[in-house]
Amino acid sequence: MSEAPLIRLRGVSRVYRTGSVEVAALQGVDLDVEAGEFVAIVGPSGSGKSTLLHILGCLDRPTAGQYLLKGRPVDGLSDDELAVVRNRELGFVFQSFNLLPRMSALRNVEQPLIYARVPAAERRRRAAEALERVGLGHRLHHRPNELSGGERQRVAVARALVNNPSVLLADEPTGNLDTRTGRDILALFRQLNEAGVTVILITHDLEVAAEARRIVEIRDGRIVGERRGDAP
Amino acid sequence: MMLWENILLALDALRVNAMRTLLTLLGVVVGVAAVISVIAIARGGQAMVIREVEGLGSGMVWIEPNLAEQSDFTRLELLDQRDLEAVSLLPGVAEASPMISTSMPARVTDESRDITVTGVSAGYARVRNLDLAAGRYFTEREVAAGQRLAVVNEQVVERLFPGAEAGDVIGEVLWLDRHPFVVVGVLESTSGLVASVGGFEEAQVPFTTLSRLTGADEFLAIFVTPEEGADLDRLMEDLRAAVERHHGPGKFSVNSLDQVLGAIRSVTDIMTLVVAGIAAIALLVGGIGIMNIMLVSVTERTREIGIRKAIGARRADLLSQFLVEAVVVSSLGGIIGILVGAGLVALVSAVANLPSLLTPGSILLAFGFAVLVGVVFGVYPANKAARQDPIEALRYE
Ligand SMILES: Nc1ncnc2c1ncn2[C@@H]1O[C@H](COP(=O)(O)OP(=O)(O)OP(=O)(O)O)[C@@H](O)[C@H]1O
Ligand SMILES: [Mg+2]
Repeated sequence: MSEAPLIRLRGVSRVYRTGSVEVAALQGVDLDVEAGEFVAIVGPSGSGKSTLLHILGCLDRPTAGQYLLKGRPVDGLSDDELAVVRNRELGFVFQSFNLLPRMSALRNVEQPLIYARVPAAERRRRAAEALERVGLGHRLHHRPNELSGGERQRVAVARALVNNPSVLLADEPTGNLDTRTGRDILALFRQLNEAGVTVILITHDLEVAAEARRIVEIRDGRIVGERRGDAP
Repeated sequence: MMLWENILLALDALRVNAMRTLLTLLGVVVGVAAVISVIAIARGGQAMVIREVEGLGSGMVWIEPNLAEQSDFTRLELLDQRDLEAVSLLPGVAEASPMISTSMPARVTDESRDITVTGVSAGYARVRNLDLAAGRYFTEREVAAGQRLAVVNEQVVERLFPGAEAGDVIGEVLWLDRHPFVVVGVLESTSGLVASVGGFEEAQVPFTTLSRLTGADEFLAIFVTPEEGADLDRLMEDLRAAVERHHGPGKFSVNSLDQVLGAIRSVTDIMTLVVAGIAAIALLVGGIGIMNIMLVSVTERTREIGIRKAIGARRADLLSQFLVEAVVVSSLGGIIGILVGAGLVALVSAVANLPSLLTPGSILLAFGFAVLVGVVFGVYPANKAARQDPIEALRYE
C-alpha cells in the first residue's frame, strides 16, 4: 500500500504523572488503521484502552511517539486546531451517551454543525437526516430523558456521524445497555461500516469484539496481539 | 449565527435556574434603576430650580448688604443716592434701579392690613422681568416727580379688592398709611416655587415718593441691567469698587444671577455624581453576583463543556457562549432596571410635581453600564470554561 493509512501511530506512549507517581498508560504503541476498517480494541480494565482512544480522538496528546491522521502529523497542532480536527474528522460515542440533557435529539445532533459554521436550515436538515439514518426519524423532538438507553446511544451515534467524519470512535458504547439493545447498537455500527464509515470501538466483551473484522488486544499499555474477527 | 445560537443557549440555561437567575438579576436591576432615577430626578429638580431663578431676571446683577460682614441688623448700613449715581455712571450699566422695602398698613375700604411696600424706579420691571396683567408701570418722569402711583401684585387684588379682576382695580385708590395712591398696574402672577412659597402682598411705588413719605433715603439693594455684550466680570468689579469708595471694603456684595445659577448647577451636579456613584457601586455588587453565579454555572456544567470540546468547540466558542450568558443576565437586569427606574421617576415626578427628565441618554448609559458589567464580570468565568481540559471535563461527575 503506497498511500498513507487513515491512522498511523508510531511508538506512542502516554505517561500520567500524579505527584511523584508515574503511570505509563501506553508504552510504545504502533497501530495502523485503513479507511473503511472496523477495529475492536479489547483488553482488561486499566490496560489503556480509553487512553488510546482519547489519543486517537485528539482529546489527549501522547507524551512520546507520533500520530499521523490522513498522513498528517497531529502533534504540532494547537488546541484550537485539534478542536477543528475533532469537529471535521472524528466522531465520538461514549459509554455514558454524553448528550446535552436540556436539548431535543435534533438540537443535540445539530451541535457539531454549529461549530462547523453550517447555516441553520442546512444544519437542521442534516441533523434530521443523521437521526433518520440511525432509525430515530420519529424521535426528533424528544429530550434525552424522554428516550430509552438504546435510543440515547443512537442519538449519540447520529451526533458523531452528522459532520461526515473519517473515523467513528466508540468507548464501550454498549456498556450501559442491556444485551439485546447492545446488540442492536452493534448492528448499527456494522451497518454504518458497511456503508463505508471507519469504526474503532473499545470493548472488553469478546462477544462484542467478535463483530469486528479486526481485533486488537492491549494489555498494560502495549498491543499484545491481533486477530481477525468472525464478521464476514 | 453563532451569537444568536449563544443567546438561545443562554436563555435556555437561565430558564432552567429561573429563581437563581432572578436573584442574580436583582443586583443589576437595583443598580440600573437607581442610576436612571437618580439622574432623571436630579436633572428634573435642577431644571426646575434653574428655570425658577432665570425667571427672576436673566442677566441681572445686584448690590446688597453683605450679611456675613454686617451681622448687626439694627445698625445695617444701606446703599444711598450717591451709590445709585455712581453706579448709573459706570460704563456697561444700561439701567440701575434702587429698591427700598418697608411694611405699611394698606386699606381700600375699612379693613386694613400690613403689606410690603417696595420703592423702586421705573426700570425695575424690566430689570426683574416683571410682566403686567393689567395697566402699566410708572414712568421715569412720574418717579422723578414723586407721584403717588402704585403697581400691586395679585395677592393685593385678592385680599383688598375682594371679587375684583385685575383690570377692575386700575384707577382705584389704595391707601398706604394715611396716603392715597392710585393703582396704575397689576403684576402678572409668576407661577413656580418661589412665588408660591413667598405669596405675600406687595405694592410697588416710586422710590422717590416712598422715601419722602417715610423719610427713608437709603436703599436695600440696587439692581443693575448690564448693557448688551458687557463684560460681566469687569462690570461686577467696577460696581464693587464704586460702592467701596463710599462705604469701605466688605460691607456690600455684588451678585449676579449667572453666579447663582452656576452655584446651583455645581451643587446639584455634585449631588448627582455622588448618588450616581453609589448607584454604580450597587451595579458593581450586581456584577460580582453575576460572576459568582457564572462560576457556579461553569462548574456545574463542566461535563457539558467536555462534551462541547469533544464535538469540536474551540476556546473562543466556549468563551463566547459563557460570556454571552453573563451579558444576557446583566442585560436582562438592565432592561428590568430601566423599567423599574422609569416607573420610579414617573412616580416621584407625579408626587413631587417635578418635571421628569428621563433622557434616552441616561437610559442608554445605564443599559451600557449593565452590559459592561456583564462583560467585565463574565470574562473570568467564561475564560475558565474555555480553558478546561477536554478529558478532565468529560470525566467530571
Ligand atoms: N488522568 C489520569 N491520571 C492518572 N492515571 C490515569 C489517568 N487516566 C488513566 N489513568 C491510568 O492509566 C491506566 C489506563 O487507563 P484507561 O482508562 O486507559 O484504562 P481502560 O483500559 O480504559 O480501562 P477500563 O476498561 O476500566 O475503562 C490506568 O492504570 C489508569 O489508572
Ligand atoms: Mg476505559
